[in-house]
Amino acid sequence: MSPGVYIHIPYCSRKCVYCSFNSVGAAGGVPAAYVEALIRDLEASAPGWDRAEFGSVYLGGGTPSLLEPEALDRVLRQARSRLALAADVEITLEANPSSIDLPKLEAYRDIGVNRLSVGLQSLDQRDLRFLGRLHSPGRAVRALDEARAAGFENISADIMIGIPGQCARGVEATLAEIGPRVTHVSCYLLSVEVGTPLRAMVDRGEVEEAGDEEAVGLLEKVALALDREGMERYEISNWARPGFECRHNKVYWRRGEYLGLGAGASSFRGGMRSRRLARPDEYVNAVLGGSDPVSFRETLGADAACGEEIMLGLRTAAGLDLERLAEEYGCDLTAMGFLLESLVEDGLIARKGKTLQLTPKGMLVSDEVICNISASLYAS
Amino acid sequence: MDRESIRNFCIIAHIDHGKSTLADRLLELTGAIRPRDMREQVLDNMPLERERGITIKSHAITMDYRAADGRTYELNLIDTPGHVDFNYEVSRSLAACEGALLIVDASQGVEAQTVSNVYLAIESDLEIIPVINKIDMKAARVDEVRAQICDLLGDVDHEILEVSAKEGIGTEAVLEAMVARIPPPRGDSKRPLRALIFDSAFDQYRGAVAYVRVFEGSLRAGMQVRLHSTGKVYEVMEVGVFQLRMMPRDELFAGEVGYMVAGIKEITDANVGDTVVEAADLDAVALPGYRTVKPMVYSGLYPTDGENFEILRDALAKLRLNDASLTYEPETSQALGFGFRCGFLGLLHMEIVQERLEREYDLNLIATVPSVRYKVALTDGTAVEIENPSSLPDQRLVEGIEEPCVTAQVVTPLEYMDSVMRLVKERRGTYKGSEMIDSRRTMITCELPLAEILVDFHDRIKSLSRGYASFDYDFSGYRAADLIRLDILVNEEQVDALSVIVHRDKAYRWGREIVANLKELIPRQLFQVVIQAAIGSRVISRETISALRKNVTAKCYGGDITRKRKLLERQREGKRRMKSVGRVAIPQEAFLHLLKVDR
Repeated sequence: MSPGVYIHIPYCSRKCVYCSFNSVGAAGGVPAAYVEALIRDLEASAPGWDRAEFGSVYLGGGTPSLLEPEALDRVLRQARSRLALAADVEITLEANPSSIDLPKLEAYRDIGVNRLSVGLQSLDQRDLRFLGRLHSPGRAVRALDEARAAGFENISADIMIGIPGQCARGVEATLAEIGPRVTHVSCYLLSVEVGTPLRAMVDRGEVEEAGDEEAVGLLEKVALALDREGMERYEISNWARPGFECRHNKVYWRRGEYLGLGAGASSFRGGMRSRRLARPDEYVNAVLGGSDPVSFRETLGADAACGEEIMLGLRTAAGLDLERLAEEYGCDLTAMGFLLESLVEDGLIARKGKTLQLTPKGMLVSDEVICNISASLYAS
Repeated sequence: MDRESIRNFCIIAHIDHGKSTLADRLLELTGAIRPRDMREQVLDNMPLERERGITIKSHAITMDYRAADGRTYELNLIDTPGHVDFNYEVSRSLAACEGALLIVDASQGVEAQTVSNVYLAIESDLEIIPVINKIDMKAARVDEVRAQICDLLGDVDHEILEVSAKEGIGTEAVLEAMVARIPPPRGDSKRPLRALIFDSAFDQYRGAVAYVRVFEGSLRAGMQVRLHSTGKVYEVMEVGVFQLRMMPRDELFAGEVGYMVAGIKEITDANVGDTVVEAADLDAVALPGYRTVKPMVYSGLYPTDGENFEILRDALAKLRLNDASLTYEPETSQALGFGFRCGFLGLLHMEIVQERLEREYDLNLIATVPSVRYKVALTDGTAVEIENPSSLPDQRLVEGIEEPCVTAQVVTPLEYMDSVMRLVKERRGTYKGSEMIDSRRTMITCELPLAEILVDFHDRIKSLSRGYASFDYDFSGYRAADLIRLDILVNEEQVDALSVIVHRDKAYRWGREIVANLKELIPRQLFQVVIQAAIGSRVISRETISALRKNVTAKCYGGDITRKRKLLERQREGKRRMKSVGRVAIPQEAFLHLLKVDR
């Protein structure tokens, strides 16, 4: 499988209340030094990948659409000159509706971006206000139309479920608007993470977390609506029209290799996972100062690798390849008959030939199912 | 030493009334130890003893005292364990003496334990020398305490000594009083040997060392002796007396106190209360008062980490070397894994053993709800004794159950009497009578099922009286009661560690509490969990934990698989430490919490 390139842009105009990702406020856009650092990082990292042909480039954030097309162009040119990118390479840019317009989108398109992932979250005004998003529902829909007008044929929208106060009608309306306009949907459950303003609001009792039953009910509506729209759920949180699955994300789930550039970006190469310095200033100083920006490295043992295989494989609709697991890791899941049988009986997993798959019901509790399987494996 | 110059005595006192401090002063005064060798409370040499201010093991020590009359006396102090759990051991120590120093705290006055100790001393026919200690304290009420002691012992006002062991006030007078008032031991060294084992200790090179009081005849190295209760014969290898360490002597004569080494391999062969006689003297009559010590309180001890089972086994074996009253046998609990059902003399004994296991052997333990030994009459006319609730036969096969009971004394200020009585009633106790100790305090005597005082009775007495009431008890016999076994089921599977034997009237509350607690303590699972409390096949309480509906990580952001995997590994470790009942994973904390539930 072709490896991918991930480029992290850790800047946002404003941080959302729920966000625990690696991003910092940046009123003046992405600092020039950061772009410089990405270019130098690419140059320094490329020699380790000289025989690889990359199938995808993914610009994630933060808000990558804060990056001016000229700056992104320099980064992509550097990528093309230092790394071998496939002829049909998928180049994704995550974009916020509030930081894009038609000319900018056309410019992105011109420099080679061919997939847009729009973080619109919801088209319900109340949800957006709650999340502290900067765009209006109208602006979000326009952003999708402008993307189409700019020539993007592969457009993904992020939506969020479990927003306190979220209502079924709002979710249905959101799906009705975006469904026909996109080829791909990522639907995430809002989680209240430690250290976020949202956590503090919940702790102070100002906000009540959405109940599990409500969130599950909404998620089921999403699944139903997207199914009607002709999309297929190919991973726990991802739906796509046939042929529009995100190539880059599949690299992660199938334990393919990838090069991560930018602050806090993760890489996987030759059985080793690593992570770059998370703080943008430290990352920039390291790279521009000629020192190693990698702050964490681990070489996976067989147990860890097998654990990952189970954890990631079960997230996908394709499922976990039991035969491959047995061959590569000597791990025979079929040996723990009782647990598997009960999970099947409870309607949480299904066994189809050589693969093991989570059912839609099982996907909702995937962490628990995976933990159970993994724990009983470890015990035996 | 001339028998007329020997005084064998013990010190009896309520906890914290100053027994060890007075003993220390006597040792200093007689030069048995030099002040620079003095550690606080020399006799309590286990760290736990010093911390809790109680004596767990008996000790003995010999002092030479040059009295005012110019003669030198041998004073043998036999220290007694200071708790009701060890009443039998106390009684054997007392039996080795002719006199007792009764210490009463000048501000606390007579307490429940003072009373029960006095009874024991009177039964052993000891000369009692009352001593009021801590007279230097601001709160001292010497005159009142004098009156209380007279109520207890009769007209002894002129015999009472006033001391402050801490300040060394009046301590010389204590030594003089002992010489003058405690009778020298009787007994004839020419008669056949009869010596009482009042304690024993294990020495890894010499085996069990018996602490003895020779009543008749004499004991010397090379003799063939027999232990009366076991009939086993040994050759005496060494005898001696107790200084700060053991000092060999050629011979121990009638009236003397010392030790005997005779190649006794196990401490369980040197039973407290047993009589040492000459091997050839087949008609020898044992000294009175011997009985086999049976545990009264039982609890399952399980290592929280199953891998520590072997360490627990070794640790119990080591404690047992020095503690013949501790019993243990392997037990398997479906919920808790491999452990031991241990028998203890009482609650304090249980606490001490658990604490020593955790502290000295670095173990983390789960202890099941303490239980007692029940006598169960079966419908087929046979009877069984059980100490583990889960081994109680099916209700239909049970004709009747008897439980051990205790007679308890509670000394309490009058204003708390009603609260004490309410607690006693709550615990199925019956009031037997009360007696004024002084103008403000009364002593209530009542009978209670032992099982009812196992969990936090003492704490409740203390808290409802703001610490002023004291409590002591002694085993009084078995009584029939309407007892049933209450089982806890999780998805139809019985959780053996949570089965209890309770009185029928209390079963509902107990069941409801456990079930409600479990509902909070068991995390949601992938399937519905039903928790039930049942008597036989009849369910008396039920709660449901609905299946987990949502637990999903949205995404592995930016390919950070490491973080996600480590999170999973942590969760997996947590899961692995849980105990499974059927498919239901129950966190260990749930057991720890439940086993603390107040009955």
